[in-house]
This record gives sequence, structure tokens and C-alpha cells, in this order.
Amino acid sequence: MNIIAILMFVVFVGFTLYITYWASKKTQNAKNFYTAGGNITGFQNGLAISGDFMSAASFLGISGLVFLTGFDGLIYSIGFLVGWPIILLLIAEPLRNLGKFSFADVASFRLNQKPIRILAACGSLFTVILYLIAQMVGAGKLIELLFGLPYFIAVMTVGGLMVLYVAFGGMLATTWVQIIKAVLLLSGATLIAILVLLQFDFSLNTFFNAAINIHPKGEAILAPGGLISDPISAISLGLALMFGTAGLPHILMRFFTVKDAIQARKSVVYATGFIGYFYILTFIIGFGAIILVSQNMSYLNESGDLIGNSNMAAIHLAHAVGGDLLLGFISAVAFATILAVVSGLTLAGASAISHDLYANVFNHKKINEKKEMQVSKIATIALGLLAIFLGIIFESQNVAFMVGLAFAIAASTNFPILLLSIYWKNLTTKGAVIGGSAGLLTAIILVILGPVVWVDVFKNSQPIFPYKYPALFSMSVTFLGIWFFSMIDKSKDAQLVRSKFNSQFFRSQTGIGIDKAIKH
Amino acid sequence: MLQTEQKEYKSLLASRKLIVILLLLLTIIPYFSFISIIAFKPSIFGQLIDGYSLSIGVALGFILILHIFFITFLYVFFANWKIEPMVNKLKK
Repeated sequence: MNIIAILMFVVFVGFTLYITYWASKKTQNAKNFYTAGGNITGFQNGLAISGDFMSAASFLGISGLVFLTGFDGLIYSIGFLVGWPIILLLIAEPLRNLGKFSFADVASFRLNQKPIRILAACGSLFTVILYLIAQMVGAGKLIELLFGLPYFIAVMTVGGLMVLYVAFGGMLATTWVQIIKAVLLLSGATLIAILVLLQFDFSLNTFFNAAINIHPKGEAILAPGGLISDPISAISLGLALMFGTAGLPHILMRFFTVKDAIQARKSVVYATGFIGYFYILTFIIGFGAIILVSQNMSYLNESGDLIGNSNMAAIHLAHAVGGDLLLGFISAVAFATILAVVSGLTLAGASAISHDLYANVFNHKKINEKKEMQVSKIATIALGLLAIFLGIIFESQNVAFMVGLAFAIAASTNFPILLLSIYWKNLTTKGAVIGGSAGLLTAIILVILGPVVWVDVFKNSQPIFPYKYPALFSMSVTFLGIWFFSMIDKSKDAQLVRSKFNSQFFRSQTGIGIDKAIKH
Repeated sequence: MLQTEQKEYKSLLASRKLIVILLLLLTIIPYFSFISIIAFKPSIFGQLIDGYSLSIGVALGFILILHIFFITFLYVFFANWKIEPMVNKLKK
């Protein structure tokens, strides 16, 4: 057990609870709860958004993957980065110009509210809950390893803290927690990378040469390994990563916290810059671990494997270059990272329940703000309990596939509906609902029948669906379905919806007509 | 909308369309080419650059990361330079 780590983590938690307290004074109405008042700057938002992508999974997981196989870690890194130009070019500005609190606001802008909101909320909740389970399980295991706490206590601590952040501090608290954590993580990772490269006089050539000489696979670690082995998987994974980002509800939510489209644009540039820089760092850290950790007996257990597992590569490296102090700092930062990400996810889920389902579907738009706020706090607590419960159940399962499925759902349900409702005049409510639901079901079924769940989890011998990544198929189903059922729709609702397109498009492209933001 | 507003709006849409399609292609084509080489001919990426301990794959990977960032930067630069003035004209 690491005293420094525990101390730093207590300081961090204390500080973030204070921020939550500060935020709670200002989060008295819906606008502040969902969008932090609407005056977050592009730079701040960029940091917060990048925080969502610099999760413990990417920091530890990708550096761990690089530690094991080298080049393949880069494939995921680039995949997670390539979605950002897509969001910037197609989604960010129209989203900010059309919507208020959630992406369902935009998707249902001219369409019939109820069915679209239900579908969008389902898509959001599925994505959020899958992502949450994966994060909670990862968090539990990590804290168990770093601080020696029993797994279920770790899960309850994470769950409890995130409920506090969200219920009392809303978007304001979660944004600032993300910003602080992003700064800490970027600084910590930069420090590790600098300390590693210092030992090689900052010569990348010497650095990689040393890694090649130490790793059992030699030069092969600079080449693609077995991560992507066939063209269908390659395209499917590529599609899921590229378009899934534009369908993640907790990311899309952040675009409503800025004043206007200009700030929304800037957010993405800053975020892309930070995330890109971060992934270059994780690559260096992974290789640094190969050189300084893989041969060092103090980090290995009896069978010669890394203590913990490959996820601990970055943590061990921190100790190798910076002793107990840096180890403590990075461990506390890893914990902070988990808290920040799950808080954002919970807020997105609570917003889908309170704003989309409760306020707009069940209450027929009789907006009672106070009630909506109450529902959002109850939803937060409910989601927190659910996350803790599922986190405990899934302790021994391999939950990595859940993030992949979350991305696939985001790419096959949320993204197509959002994209087409912004840009395609002939979209109708029926088309969107049927096509979107078909895509959602396809993604879920194909994953259940695929190698990860059917074989690894249910222990069958052969998967029914041979590919790990369903996005190519589920996205095709969605787009075809939406196109077909919209084109054959000749109802009155369809005509009404199409007639509203021009004014919606005008507002989405110019921003003329959006809410005024509140100063905070 | 007035005639002049119509014209301004149309040219705004045209500018946006041009830059968006251009940058989309500049994002999608390099990325999927990168992925395709990994899927079909990974050995190309495994080759080391003459005299260095760096592979073509790693070098191109880093370049692609920088390229992706550069695309976003290009768009904001273009948007602030060309698009915003047009939007401001329409707001009047």
C-alpha cells in the first residue's frame, strides 16, 4: 500500500468535493445542471472533452497494449482520434445551433418528438450503461491493485463519489473535475515520457533500438501484430471508431456547455490536439515500459509476468523513472481519471432519463423545471446504484467488449439519426424510428452471436457471427432502413416534417435563433 | 428572405460544402488507406527505414496523428476567415 498515493488521492477527492460544493450553489436550475450555464470557453471545453477520451482505459490499456505488442496500440490510438474531424466537420456546429441540453433535442427538432426521444434515449442509455460497466470493473480492479482495497469497496467508493459529483454539481462540477484531471494526467504522462527519453538523450532512434533489443519479438514490435487480421474486421472496427465518437451521448452533451458554434469549433481543435499529444505519449510510455520494466525483477511475479497485468505497465514505469513520489501521483491521477469519466457518463444517462424521457415524453412537454431537476437527481442515484451493482456482478468477466459494443451502438443508432436529421430533407419520423431501432438491434444481436460473447462468455465452440466488430453491418442496416422507410412514407406527418427542414437547416448553419447563454 | 439574403445564404452554404467535403476526404482516405495496408499488406509497415530503428508503420502512424490534428486546425482557420463574416452579414 502506497501512503503517498493515498495521500494524493485524498487531496484530489477533497478538492473535487469542494468544487462540487461550489458548483451546487450555482446549479439550481436545469440550464446550469445540464450545460454549466452555457459559458464554458472553447479551451476549457476542449480540455474537458479530451479528459473523457483520456480515460484509465486508454492511458493504462493502450500503453499496456503497446508494452505487449508494440505497433498495435497505435491502431487504437489513431482510431480514437479520427472521429474528431468527423464531429467537427459535420456535427459540432449544427448540434450547438439546434439543441439545448441533449443530442435528442437536435434529432427530434423537426420530427415527431415522442418516438424519436424514446429511441435516442434508449440508444444513449445502452451506450452509457455498457461504457459504465466496463469503467466500473476496470476501476474496481485498478483500485484493488493500487490501494489494496477489496474490489467491492472500490466499486462502491467510485459509485458513491460519482453520484455526489453529478447529483449536487451537475455539468459544472463534472466539467471542472474533467479539466483538473486532464491537466494532471497530461502533466504526469509528459513527465514520465521526458524522464524516459532523458535516459536516451532524447534520441528516438536509440530509444526504439533499445526496445527492439529487449522485447522477445524484436523488430516485429514496430510492425502490425495480430490485432486486425482480415479486411472486414478492419473496415468494421474503423467505421465504429470513426463514427461512434459522433454518437457518444456524454461527448455530445459537452457541446451544449459553450456559448455558440465558434466556441464549439474551438473545443474540438483543442480536444484533438490534447488527445493526439496524449496518444503519442502513451506510445512512448509503452515502449519505455518495455525497456525499463519488462526486465526488472521487482515488477515481475513468479511466472515472469508483470505484477497486476499489462495494464500496470505505465504505473510500474512511473515508479521506475520517478520513484514512490511519481508512482503515488500517477496512481492518484488514474483514480481521478476513472471518477471523471464515470461522472460524465452518469450525467449523460441521467439527462436522457430526466430531460428526454420524463420531461418530453411522459409529461407531454409541460415543462416543470423543478420536477425535472428532481427526476434528474433521482435518476443519478438510480444509475449510480445500477452501476455499482453491475460492476460487482461483472467482476470476473472480460468486459473489454462492452466498450466496443458501446461504440458500435453509438455508430449505428445515435450517429445516423443525428446526421440524417440535420442534413437529409426527406427524413421522416417513421423512417428514423424503424431504421434506428433495426440498427440498434442488429448491433446487439451480432455482438451476442459473435466470438467474444458466444464463445468466450457462453463457452460455445464456434461463433454464429464470425466477426468481432459488427459496425459495418449494423450501420448499413440503419442507413438502408432509414432511407427506405422514409422514402415510402407518404403520411401527413412526413410532409410536415419535410416542410420544416429548410428553416431548421438555416438555423443549423448560421446559429440565428439560438438561446442566449447565462453568465457564470 | 430578401433577395440579397438568399444570395448570401447560398454562397455561405456553397463555401461550407466545399471545405467540409474536401476535409472529409482528406480525413477518410488517409485513415482507411492506413487501415487497409494493415489488413492487406502489413509487411510494408514492418519495414525499417534505412539506417534507423524506426519502422515505416510507426513513422506514418505518428504523421497521421499530426495530420488529423492539422485537419481540425485547418477547418477552424477557414471557418473564422471565410464563414464567420458571411454569417455576420446574415445576422444583420
